Order: sequence, then C-alpha cells, then structure tokens
Amino acid sequence: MTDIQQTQQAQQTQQTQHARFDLDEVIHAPVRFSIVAALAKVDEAEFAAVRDAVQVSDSVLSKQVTILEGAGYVGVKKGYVGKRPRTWLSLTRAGRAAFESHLAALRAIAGG
Amino acid sequence: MNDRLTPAEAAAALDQASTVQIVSPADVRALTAYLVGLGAAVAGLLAASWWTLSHDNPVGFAVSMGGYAVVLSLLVALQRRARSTPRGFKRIYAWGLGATMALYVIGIMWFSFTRPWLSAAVFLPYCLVVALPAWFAAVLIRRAAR
Repeated sequence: MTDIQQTQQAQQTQQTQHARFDLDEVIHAPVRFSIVAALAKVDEAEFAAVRDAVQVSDSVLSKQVTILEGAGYVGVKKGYVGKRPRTWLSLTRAGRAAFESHLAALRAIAGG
Repeated sequence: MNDRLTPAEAAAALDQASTVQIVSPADVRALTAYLVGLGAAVAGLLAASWWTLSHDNPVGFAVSMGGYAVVLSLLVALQRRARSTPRGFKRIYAWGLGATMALYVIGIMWFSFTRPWLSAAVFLPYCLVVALPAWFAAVLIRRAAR
C-alpha cells in the first residue's frame, strides 16, 4: 500500500468514526463542562462569579480550574481591587477551540 | 463515560451550555455606566479646555483637569465592581475609547491652531461627537451581554 493510500484510509476512518471520540475528556466532566461553558460567554470573570454561576464550593472550583489550567484551557490572573485580592479566570484560545469542538461532537450525538 | 452518552444527555449538555449565565445585570450596568461616563467626561474636559483657554483662564483649565481626574477615578472604581466582562468587551472597549480619545486629540489641535477662537455653536457640537464612540461602545456591550 502506498503512502497516499494509507493517508486516504486514515482520513476515511476519521470521517466515519463515532462523534463520541471527538468529545474532549478534560471538558467532558460535568463541573468542568459548566465552568468552560460559563467562561465561553465572557472575556474574563472573577473566581467568585464563576463559583456562583456554576454553584460549587471554592475548593471544588479551585481543583477543577487547576486541571483546566494544566490542560492549557483556562488562564488564571491574580490581582487586587483596592486592597482585596482577586482572581480572574478566562478561556484561552486553545480552551475556546476545544470547547467549540466538544460542542460540535455533542450536537452530532444529540442529532442521532 | 463517553460510551454511555445518549443523544438525550448530549442535548441536555448543549442546553446547559446555552443557558448558563455568568454576566449579571449589575455587571452590565457597571460597564455601560463606565463607558457612558467616560465619554461624557472626555467630552466635558474638551469643552472645558476650549472654554477656559479661549477666555484666558488658566486656573479654570487646571480646575477642569483636576475635576476630570476625580471623575475618572470614580468611573474606574465603578467599572471594577463588575465581576465579569461579556465576550467582546475588551475589543469593543478598546475601539470605543480609542476613537473617543482620537477625536479628543483632534479637537484639542483644532481649537489650539484656529484663530480667532472657534465659536460655541461650532465647537460644542463637536464635543458631543467626541463622546459618541464611547456611548456607542456602551450600547454594543449591552447587546453583547444579552
């Protein structure tokens, strides 16, 4: 089999595989999915705003954000408003692309 | 886990993604008030600069600059109350404020190099034009947050 035939076969396999294989394992977990879905609608948001929107505790959010940050999907910025420390979260470009791809896979599955 | 995802569960996840809301009405109010106030402050500063300098009143000019600094610090404090910024805010804000500041600089140069001094009928409407990009940005932010 030539290289071209092998490439074509690989492309065919990719085109026919089930949409579930396109789901992002990092984003797929329910809490992380909620976090990413919330962050997809903003440029950035305070940690507390995300916590309230997703309805989780500080420790749960912190743990999940660490995982998303490690995957390169979420950026974390620390600073102050007056004398109060604040943490801002935002989706990175890679995170936004991964979320869009994840949504496309969900649409494919939902569509049957 | 992926192997067990049913179409109904996928549809539920999509529904959740589309309905989750993080930008609150208070955030939108703070951001739009900030932009409207900023436009008005820059327009006001330009008008005050023209008026005080054309009436040979350097003290009035200094007072107007000080007033602008105070208003600006209050507006920044207001903007910082927003806990989240809707998608596109940074870009819209940069364009809106950039255009307003560019028009402000043009206004300063216009009245500085024009003699006799420009009349109020000509210059005050221009001051309003200076505020328009920031105000337009406020409208776009409100729409983006929907």
